[in-house]
Amino acid sequence: MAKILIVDDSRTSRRILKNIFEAEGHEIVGEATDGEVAIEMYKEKKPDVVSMDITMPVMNGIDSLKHIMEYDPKARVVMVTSAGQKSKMTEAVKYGAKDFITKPFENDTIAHVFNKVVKEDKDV
Amino acid sequence: MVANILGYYLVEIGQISMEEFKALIRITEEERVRLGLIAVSEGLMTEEQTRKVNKRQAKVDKKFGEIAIDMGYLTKDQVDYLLTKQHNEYVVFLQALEDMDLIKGEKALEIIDDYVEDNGLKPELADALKSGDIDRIINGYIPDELMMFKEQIGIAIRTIIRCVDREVALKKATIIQSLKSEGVGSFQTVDDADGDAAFTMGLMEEDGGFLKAANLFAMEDFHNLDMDALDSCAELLNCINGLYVSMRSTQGIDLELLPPDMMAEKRIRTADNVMCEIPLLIRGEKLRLILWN
Repeated sequence: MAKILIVDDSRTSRRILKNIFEAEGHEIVGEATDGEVAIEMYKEKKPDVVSMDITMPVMNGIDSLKHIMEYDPKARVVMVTSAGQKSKMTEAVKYGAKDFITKPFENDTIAHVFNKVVKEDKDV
Repeated sequence: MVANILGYYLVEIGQISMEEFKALIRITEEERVRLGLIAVSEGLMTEEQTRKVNKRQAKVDKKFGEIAIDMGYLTKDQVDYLLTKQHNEYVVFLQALEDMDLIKGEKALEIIDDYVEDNGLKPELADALKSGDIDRIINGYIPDELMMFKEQIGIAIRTIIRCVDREVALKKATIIQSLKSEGVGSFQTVDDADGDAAFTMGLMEEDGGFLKAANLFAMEDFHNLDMDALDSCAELLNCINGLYVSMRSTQGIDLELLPPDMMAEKRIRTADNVMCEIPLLIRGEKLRLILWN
């Protein structure tokens, strides 16, 4: 079981992801609606994994990722993107993102990616 | 789709009731089998392969058969063979009309031409509806002066069919001069560096369809047109536009998705260039797809 922080300005996306993560036995420790709130929540909640949307108001997911990685170089962040944002995914990986998932969501894929990222940490 | 389009037309002209329309849709749904299921039953694909194709289909705007060929699971001949096994929706619709003792024979065959003529649609739409080919059908609703939006409209309709509900009907796309919001809607702008390829797409409530789409997409039971419902349709737009951006990136054009905008108050918008509206029906309930550049 992992502690997950969900970062997405869309309630629909947060709800869908929460349902998937909880079905996999993970615990949702917080939900942030923009990248700026995500940084503060990361520091406060210390999640095992962060699910980070890219396109958000106030602060986007890439910038938030950079701040989180600066604060905690061992942070595990999985980016959530729409199809067609390949350049953003490449950029995110460059800044330390562990993996990415795309919308529309596929339950099996999300569960597989997050479980893999969680397990990597446990193996280390 | 075909049954929805023609069935709803029959309701509008008073030939059948809404209850009979719903019964027709149930029958056509039962008769229509997905290509993946046929492929498995024919021993041409495994269930795992169909799952992989379905996953890929969520990310690219392509038909099941096309993706199966791309992934090496089927050949073109096999896809053609499977398509012959899949019941033609127009034929199923005619059969259902007869079985329900609603409209038969010559009168049934005239429905399609009457529909096209009454709605001022392109004559080629009649053949497209008979074929059941979604791409040809969608193009039949886009007048020549709105063909600049052909790709976006096509991706929008196909994504709604895939991610919201198969039972979608549409009406002719028309140019509108401005957008006066008297209800609610969700919008998203797709931007580019030069502004040449930028556009805004929106979904607006008309008569229950927006809430229907929001519920079906989010798999929830929203009762009101509140922020949850607006957000659900905003996410749907995000998926639609993401697929469009993905397609354009393969053509060397880089576009950017901006955060969606949700509107719950009266507002007037005037497009800089061209603005169009496509009325949609999801299970008989209306909403509007709006586009402008």
